[in-house]
Amino acid sequence: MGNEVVIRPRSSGSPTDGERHGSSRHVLARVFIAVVMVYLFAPVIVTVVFSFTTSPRLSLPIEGLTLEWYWRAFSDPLFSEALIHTVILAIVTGAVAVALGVSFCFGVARLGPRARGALLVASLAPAAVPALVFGIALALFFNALGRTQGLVNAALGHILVALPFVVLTINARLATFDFSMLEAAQDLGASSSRTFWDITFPIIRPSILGAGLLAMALSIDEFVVTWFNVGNQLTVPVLIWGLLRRGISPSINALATVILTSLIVLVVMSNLLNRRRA
Amino acid sequence: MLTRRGLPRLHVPLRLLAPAGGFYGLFFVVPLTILIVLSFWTVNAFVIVPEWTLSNYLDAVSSALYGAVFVRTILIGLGTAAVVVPIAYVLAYLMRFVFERRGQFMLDLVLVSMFSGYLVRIYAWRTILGKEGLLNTLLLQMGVISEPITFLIYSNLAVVITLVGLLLPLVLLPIYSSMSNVSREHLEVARDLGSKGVGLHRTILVPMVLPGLGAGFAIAFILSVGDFVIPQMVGGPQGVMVGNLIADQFKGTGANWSEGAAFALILLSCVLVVYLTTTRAVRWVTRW
Amino acid sequence: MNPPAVEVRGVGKRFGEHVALDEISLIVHEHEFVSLLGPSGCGKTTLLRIISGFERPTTGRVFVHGEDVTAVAPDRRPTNIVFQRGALFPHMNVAENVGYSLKLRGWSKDRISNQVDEMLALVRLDGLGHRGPTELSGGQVQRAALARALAAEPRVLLLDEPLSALDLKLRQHMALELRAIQRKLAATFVYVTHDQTEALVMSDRIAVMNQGRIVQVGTPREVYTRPASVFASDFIGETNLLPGTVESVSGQEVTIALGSGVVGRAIAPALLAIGTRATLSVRPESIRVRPADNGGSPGAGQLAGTIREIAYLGSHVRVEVEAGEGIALWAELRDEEVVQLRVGSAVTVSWSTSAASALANPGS
Repeated sequence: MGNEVVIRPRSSGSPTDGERHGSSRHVLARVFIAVVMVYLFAPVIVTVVFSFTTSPRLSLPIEGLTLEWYWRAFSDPLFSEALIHTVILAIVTGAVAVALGVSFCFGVARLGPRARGALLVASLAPAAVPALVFGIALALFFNALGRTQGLVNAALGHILVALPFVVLTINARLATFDFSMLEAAQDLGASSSRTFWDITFPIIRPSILGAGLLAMALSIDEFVVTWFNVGNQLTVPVLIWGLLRRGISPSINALATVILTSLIVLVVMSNLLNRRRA
Repeated sequence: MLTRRGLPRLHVPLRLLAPAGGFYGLFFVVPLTILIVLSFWTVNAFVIVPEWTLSNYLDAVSSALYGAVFVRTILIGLGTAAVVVPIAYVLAYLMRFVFERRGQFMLDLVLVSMFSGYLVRIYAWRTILGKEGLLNTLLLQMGVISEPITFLIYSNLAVVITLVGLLLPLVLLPIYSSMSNVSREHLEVARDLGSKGVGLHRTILVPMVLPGLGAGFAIAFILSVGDFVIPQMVGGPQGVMVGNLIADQFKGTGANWSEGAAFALILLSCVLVVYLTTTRAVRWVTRW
Repeated sequence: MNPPAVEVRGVGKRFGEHVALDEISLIVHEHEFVSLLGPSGCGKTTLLRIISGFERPTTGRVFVHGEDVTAVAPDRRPTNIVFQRGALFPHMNVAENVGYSLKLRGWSKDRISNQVDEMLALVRLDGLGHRGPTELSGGQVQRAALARALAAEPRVLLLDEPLSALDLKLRQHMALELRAIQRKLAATFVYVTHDQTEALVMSDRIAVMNQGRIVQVGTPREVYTRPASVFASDFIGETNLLPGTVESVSGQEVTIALGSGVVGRAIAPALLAIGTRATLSVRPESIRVRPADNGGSPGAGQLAGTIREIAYLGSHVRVEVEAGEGIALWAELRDEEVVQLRVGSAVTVSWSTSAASALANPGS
């Protein structure tokens, strides 16, 4: 957002205020935003609230509060297995997607504008193809190789899902990156690996962390590609899917709340880091 | 930009590009190629028969059932995009030009909602829209209705409601970013020249953010038609979409990979057609 | 005899079809301040980047103190560079920036700190070592960048338009200071700029560049008073360019017919054949404008004219004269010289032959 927003008094500049000071239109705008926010957050609120209510049936008014569903969920050995797998996948996805993405973005930055644009668009391809399609394609690929399904297959799928978003994040950071700093370091006697660890990495560390957290969030939430590639292994979304198909169980809300909380924490942290500019 | 111009071109960007390029090649391009090849082969009792044939495509096209599912899927995709894009446009406009600094915070909130869990939100919508769900319970208790509304769940409406909720943040992003390039001065000049109300949007703002609207439309369509979880969870028995047909050919009991591959490719071509049409349309309109 | 500090021998550079440098040769002596001066896109930055090692020449070789460094990487060359916008490392304070090359060499902390202090004192940033780059003004950033490059004790310092991001006053001030530092260290500086004033103020010699070639090398005075080409005379300082035909040649002195019966005299830096098209260049401050003598026709080397415009510019007055058909020129006069002049009045315009140059037309 430009500075003009800060300097200008709202009443003089806001186009919706129009010629008349249309406060009624302002009210309408507030109502619209409120309705949209309720629409977006109703599922979240419902999930969290019902993960604490005593009644196993979803009904109003709420009768009492309990942590029982969390105990049930956590004491299920399947859950801890799924959780461990999800955490492993998230860490692997974050690390590999960031390594590939950072290297790619620095390579692309050294190209002419045409080649750069073309490669950036190409790198976003997995985000433009339905996950279902490349999920099954990946499954067929591993089948052709004779590999049984499992966590490694799923991890490769997760990296594919996360990589476009990592590239977008890092590339946005590099748009304001002063590449002559790297030349300055080399000019002063630093080798290219020394330049990376002394200069590049410390400067873009917030964006790298931000991109990594985003990749982890995408991995934790990933279901479609996982389901076609993970075989009989469990991740938290796969576990939830299994419970969903068996019917409504309040422990789903507890599991969902756990997932939701971790995702939101990761994404808020990622967002804060990406906004920090050297 | 100056900083980029002066970069040494000799410094092997290939070494930096190769890891990601190799990854995409091996795990994205090759698998999709296998998918294409398989769609022209057949599978007999889980054994792949590598003989070129169009039978999978012919099956898909000639079956009235499959045809109906394809038409429904595309209609739901277009319908969802047609609902979600205007909402996102108004939202972006309000955030950018009416709520200004608080708009930034609202944008953050919307983005947070995007990461509140894919399965979680679908499940929650089932809870909300169900026959004995939250919405019906509330309305019954408030006395607005005397009988539960049954078409809320297991219907096209439920699918669209859920899709719109899921896709709104993703569609908002490109539209909002297009709108960030429009300055307050642009709108002030337009108003100074006598444009106002709906005309201001029609003649000034919409043309200026058209690329964002196009991208939003494409995203909404692609993600809607490719989904199989939402129709399965809230669409009901009549709510089958192409995604379910494909998923069943890979996970279901009567799995037939090559037929699933053919379905996936037909879906992919629909996506491509819609994508190319929107980008062409946007380019044509903006040039003019 | 010592080899030159920098020798560029037949260096050419192509980017695809585009020829950035066309077989350039240049010698920079030790302790010398040489500017590469030219408009944007003339190849001056490319040449500097080839000397620093960030670009490889397509043809030719580069020597630094006699050693062929054409294939040597920038981190192993005895040159250091100051970038346009300083390129300070934002996550290090000024002292860490300045000491970075010394840390890479494994110097002890004390030794680094001594050298850093000395460098900061040299660029007059004493006591600002603990500051971060964002806490510095534009001028201070460039001083710190200079200190960082000098701390590495380069045998040749390369500067890539280091003052271009600063405002005019600061730029003039810093130019003098850079010159003083170079003198004090007796260092070799190669300085890229598109600003002729900067080049004139600082340089021992200026290499004027255009379209990938060096078109003239000389001291500031030579380049200003004896431009070798229309381009050089126009790019450096301001000038009147009067097209005409060579009428007579006697030694270096040339007479050029500027129009029907109007001739101008000038010195030709290169041979001009009688009858060829040529351009006469004369600086506005070299032109004298006097009220016309009553009735008398102008004498040899004088032009009769009419004043079209008089503009007061503070330090001087700009007077525009039309001398014959289509010959317009302008002069910079002192205030007292224009007392008798009015717009429309008839005047005599003249200049001393040695103050004007007769230059071959470009492309002929």
